[in-house]
Amino acid sequence: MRGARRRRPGAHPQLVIGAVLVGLVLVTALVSLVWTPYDPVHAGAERLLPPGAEHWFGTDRFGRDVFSQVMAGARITLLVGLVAVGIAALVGVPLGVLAGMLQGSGRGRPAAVLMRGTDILLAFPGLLLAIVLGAVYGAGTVTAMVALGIGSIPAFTRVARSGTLQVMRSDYVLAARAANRGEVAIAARHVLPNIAGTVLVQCSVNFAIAVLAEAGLSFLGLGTPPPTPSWGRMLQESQQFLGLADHLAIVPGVAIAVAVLGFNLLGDGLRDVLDPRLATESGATPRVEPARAVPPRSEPVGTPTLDLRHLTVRTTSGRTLLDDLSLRVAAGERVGLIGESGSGKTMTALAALGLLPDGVAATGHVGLAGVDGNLLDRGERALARLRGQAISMVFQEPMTALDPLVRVGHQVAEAMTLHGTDGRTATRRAAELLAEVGLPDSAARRYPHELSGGQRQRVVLAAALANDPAVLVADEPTTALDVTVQRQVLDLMTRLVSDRGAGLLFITHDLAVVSQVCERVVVLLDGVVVEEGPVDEVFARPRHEYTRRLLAASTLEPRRSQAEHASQADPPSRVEPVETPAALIRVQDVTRTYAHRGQPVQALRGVSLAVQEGQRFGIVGESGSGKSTLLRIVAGLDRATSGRVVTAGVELSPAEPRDLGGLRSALQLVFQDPYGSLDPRMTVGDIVAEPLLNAMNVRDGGPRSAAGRRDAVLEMLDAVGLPLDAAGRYPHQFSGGQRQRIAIARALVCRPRILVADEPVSALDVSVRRQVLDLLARLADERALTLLLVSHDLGVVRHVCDQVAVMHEGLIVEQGPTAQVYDDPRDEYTRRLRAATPQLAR
Amino acid sequence: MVRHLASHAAQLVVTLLVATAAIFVLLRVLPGDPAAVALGIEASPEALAAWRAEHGTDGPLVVQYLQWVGGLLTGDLGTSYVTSQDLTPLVADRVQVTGILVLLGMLIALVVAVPVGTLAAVWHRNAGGVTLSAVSQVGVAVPNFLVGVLLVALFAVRLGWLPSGGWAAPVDGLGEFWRHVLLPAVALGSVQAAIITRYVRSAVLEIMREDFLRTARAKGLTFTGALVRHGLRNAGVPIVTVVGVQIASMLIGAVVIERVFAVPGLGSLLLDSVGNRDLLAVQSIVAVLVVLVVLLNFLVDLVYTLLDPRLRRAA
Repeated sequence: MRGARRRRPGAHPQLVIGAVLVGLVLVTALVSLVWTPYDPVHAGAERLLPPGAEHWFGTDRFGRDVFSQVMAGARITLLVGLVAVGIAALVGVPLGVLAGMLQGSGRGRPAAVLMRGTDILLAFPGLLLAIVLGAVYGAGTVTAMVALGIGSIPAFTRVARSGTLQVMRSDYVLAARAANRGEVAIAARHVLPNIAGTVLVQCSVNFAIAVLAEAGLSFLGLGTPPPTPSWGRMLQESQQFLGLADHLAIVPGVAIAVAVLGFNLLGDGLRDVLDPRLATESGATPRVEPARAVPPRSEPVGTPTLDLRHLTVRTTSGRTLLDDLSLRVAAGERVGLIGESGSGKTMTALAALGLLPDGVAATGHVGLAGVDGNLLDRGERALARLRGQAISMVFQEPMTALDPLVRVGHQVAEAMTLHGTDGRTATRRAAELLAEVGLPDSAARRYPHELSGGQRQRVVLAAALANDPAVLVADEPTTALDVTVQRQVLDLMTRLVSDRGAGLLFITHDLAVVSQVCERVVVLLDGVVVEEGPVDEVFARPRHEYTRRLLAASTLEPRRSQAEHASQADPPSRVEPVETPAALIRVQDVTRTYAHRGQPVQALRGVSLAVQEGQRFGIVGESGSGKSTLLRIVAGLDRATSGRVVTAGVELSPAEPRDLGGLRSALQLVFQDPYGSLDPRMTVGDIVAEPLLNAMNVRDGGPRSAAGRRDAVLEMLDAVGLPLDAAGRYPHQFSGGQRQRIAIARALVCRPRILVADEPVSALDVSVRRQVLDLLARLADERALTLLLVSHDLGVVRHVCDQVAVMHEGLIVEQGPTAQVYDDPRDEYTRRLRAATPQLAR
Repeated sequence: MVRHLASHAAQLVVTLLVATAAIFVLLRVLPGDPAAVALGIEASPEALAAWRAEHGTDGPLVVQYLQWVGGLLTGDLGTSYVTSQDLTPLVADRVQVTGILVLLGMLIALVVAVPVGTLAAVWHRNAGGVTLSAVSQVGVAVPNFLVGVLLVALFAVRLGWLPSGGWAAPVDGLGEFWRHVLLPAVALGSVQAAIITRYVRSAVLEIMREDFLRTARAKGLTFTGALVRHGLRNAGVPIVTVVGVQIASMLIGAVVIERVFAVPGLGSLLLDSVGNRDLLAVQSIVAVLVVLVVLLNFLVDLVYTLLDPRLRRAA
């Protein structure tokens, strides 16, 4: 709702029209209670009068005024709608919330039983139920209301359940759990406010359904009995006078349509207002300084294959996304386009292929070798002939880039059949191409969901290179992939492009990747090219201030600490965890097995580690390594299948009864996604204060009054470097880095001994990443925190931690002091991981 | 896949058992002794006992329930308490009429809704799309019986082209059949067309945002080509669900249209039985309708699984 307030109501015509129509019906019903032009029930005029000055809508067969009847009919319509929706919502929503919360907290079986139970009601639509109840108890207003209400229960249960489940799966509920908030508090503070909007939409839509159904029942004579006026019965009675007095049918018909339309539009309008996807952007990052370009060092050599000149991209609302960009890619050349989120790098790629989304238009010149004229002047059909043939593209998100319903072999072959290759040849070539990108023979017959992310990206690559294009545009092609997979895909892409002598425009935020893949680099800031030149020159001697800043932020130097000296004096053993009584976190032989579709999946296969008080401990691993599972177990948010876990003196082993009270005040968490870990409907002040609401979390001398909590929140906001007025604002008004600071403030407000951070910077831009890491490190020092940091990025862990454990396929393959493990890895996997991690060559 | 089907089939059986039990309790147990209802309050105990013996309502309720369900399974719906008619052929006849009406209505709805909804999505930023969308929004708000009444007013009363009501089975001559079925089917289908148009529009809009559509265009398809080849098939998955749910709701909703056009369908029979307080007939007709609705939901699930390979392997 908050987000919506920033938009003018005029931006939602549906909402306005719906509200006006519903208001009209409501006012009519209310006015009819005290005044109607004539008595709606008793006849007083000539029969079947046509509409006129005396009787605006004419009279019926008994000489009653139709206008008065329609006014009075609004009452029954609203009454039935209101009671039916009320019954459905009051029964359906609590059931749905209960089912959602049960399922969201791992009790899927009772939740499923609950849902199956309400599903049975689906077999009895409201209309049928009304007829049945009418047969037994007699038809009437009450029967209709109750039947329509019961019939709508499943709709509300489903909506409430799916909304609740979504909230329960959010990181902010996990954070509330970690702060030891009870289920009732979570339901009241997080679930209900967040599903209120969807439930409201459902109310509106169901009101419309109830109005229609009531009219239908009255039409059948199963609704409100005469003489009380009702729209449906008026329509039914009009039937015998068709041709004589059509107004008798049209007037109540229009009344029904207006009411239904009103409630439907209101519902749709509310949905639009509440849809986060449609919310306007907050404008959190104003342009700090006007980006001014430094002159290029040297003109690129050779004839350009792809030639972008003075390319400007604007939205129809006039915002400039890309400002006068010029860029050339020569045949066989690999050019990197670097920029952070919002810099316009994806728009460049889409403009080059003529794939710009609706509402965005490009001016300037896009030239392609061997193609006459400006590509921007070509129509969709002419562009389509070039795409996939002369210029191709690989996208960022491999999981969604392929059609889920079509076998991948066919999707590769399609790239060729579209450009004139016959089907048989295309199928054969597709198999060859899939082999060339390193996929097994069987891959062609697979559907996308049967392949991993890396394999899917290989498929996209095979399709993109099928026709030997002159230029390949790759937009963050490996950002979504694991490091080791990234390395393989990058190597493959570089090789295939070189083999074909094609030009490559490589778009990324990762400077290290560019330094490995590209020869020339173009740096983009807020839609403007600020610097370009050969990679080694630009990286060695950056001229623009922004490039320098980016380079500085990209290099995370190793942590220099007392631990290093300590380790020289007394080198700890590498594989065996350090066993001292002082260990604050102790994990011994822990396994965790999930049931996935009936198959057991081993997430952890016997893990042991010990974290000492005050230590900064890093866990590194790729997706599926079990690192997040381990972290959840250590934090008491999940239970091990076997083994022993003690965190801050609290026994978390599977055999022990769960008593997490003591743990919660000792351990707090920071999550990966700064957008999902803060409740969008709470102010930052309330978010940070939430852990203090549980008295168990407040240490001796900590704040126990509202004023004390407020002071603690302000102090914490200051400590994480946020302005104090942040407390009164909402999460959407902050950038990703700022949100992560808010999450850190929330974690530290009750002064825990341990801070667990799960990939805290992987969703952030490079320049922000460093600031957040340094903040974490500083706070850990100042507050004598024990830090447990999980990351896929060796560099991040090396920058912050003095001890590291490397995880692979549910096992810790190596652990020890960070510098040792990093500089002299013993395990084969650690070596592979290190080698795959892109290094910034300077 | 087999597992998936088995679990859904098991659920189907449970749903049907609970639903029929609910119908039995609502219509057989709660209203009291059907013998007293049939013979009136002044009937002698002997007469009541004789009636109960004749209609098999003298045993324990559980046995009566099982007998009734057993009858349903073997296609024996019982004999009406009021008219003493055998219900099975009567209901079978009426199911045919309603079935034809509903399927024809859905066909009309789909022929209109799929192209119109797709266009409304593709043109969602310009006047054409907004107009289509607004028209469908209004269409959803119009009750189908109003459409029926207006169609009768125009084509039967004013123009006299078609009969205002009644029914002719296809076996009795296709010409007459079409003359009678056209108006009710259009009345039923037009409102459905509006409803399904809105679902098609939102499904296609959703698909238009998908990455794979962009990939398809990057391979050399035009926007339209990509939408036709990859978009519509993907949009079809949610649309099939909606069609199934809507057919189920039309089975019940046809009651009203049958009333408007005096079509002797299942709904008319149900209403007549309610009017006659013929509770066994009501009980059996409602059971038939509920079974049809539940089976349709099951069928939708099945089709859904067949269309989407991601669900096919879920075993």
